[in-house]
Amino acid sequence: MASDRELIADVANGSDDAFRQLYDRFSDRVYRYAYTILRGEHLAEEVAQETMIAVWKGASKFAGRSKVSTWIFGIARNQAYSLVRKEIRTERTPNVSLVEPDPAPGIHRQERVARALERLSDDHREVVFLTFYEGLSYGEIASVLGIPPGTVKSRMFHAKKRLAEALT
Amino acid sequence: MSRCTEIQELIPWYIEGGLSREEERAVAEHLSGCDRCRDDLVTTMQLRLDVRAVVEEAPGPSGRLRDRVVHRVLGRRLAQLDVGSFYLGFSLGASLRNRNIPIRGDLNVMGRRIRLFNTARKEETNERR
Repeated sequence: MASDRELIADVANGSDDAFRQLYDRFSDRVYRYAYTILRGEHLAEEVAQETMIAVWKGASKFAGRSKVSTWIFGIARNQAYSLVRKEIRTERTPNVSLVEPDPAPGIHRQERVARALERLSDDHREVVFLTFYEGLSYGEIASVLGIPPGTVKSRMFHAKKRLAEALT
Repeated sequence: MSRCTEIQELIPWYIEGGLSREEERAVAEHLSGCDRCRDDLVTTMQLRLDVRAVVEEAPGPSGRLRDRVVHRVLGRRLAQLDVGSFYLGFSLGASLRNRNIPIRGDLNVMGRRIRLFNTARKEETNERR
């Protein structure tokens, strides 16, 4: 199986097959990341679509200094936040700061975790996703988010604390 | 910042295996003598499982998304001619892309596709720039 880097190199050379493989490898992950930021299925799909198109167009610019996934998540993040700005301008605001009421005690744990995640700030939720779901290192997350590694660690520390408190 | 806070900040990546060797050793050493941080490790491991379950539970993108992206990027396939076998073959394809009909030819050697020509390449390269 071709590595992510090999696929990107082939995509840069215009390989349709490589793009299809790259799409199948990343679109779901990009969609879930966008969903974590935007909390809306249609918006997440739009981000996934524009991200994969940007990957096709920009494959030749991938410098190889980071992992392919870090590069793609960086593109997805830019797409997500430019969509947020656009949505705010057109007043079709995404549910970015949606806060659900406290769940009733005794509710299924997974449901409680989902609600606790909803109640996190966008910054915290994003770091939790990139750490626990994508398994990125704090240095890689810092590079996706464009913030110092220390800030990533501290956001994760506080997010973890809030999640644990919400679940006790 | 207390030593415990420093360690607890690293614990998510200790679990994920994303620390340097020195950081990993420091966390392991501290954990061996600190009940509080060991509790944090257990809590964090459970949280990780919980978060992954929630994210995986959410529905993924619709099947139509793939068609939309592939159509926009690669165009709609109009014709495809394949001759030869898995070991050695030749493909000729035409698609409709941005009101153009680029034609491409590929040599297939042992399942590996080698692009011989693509009439769209020049326009696409310009577009990518």
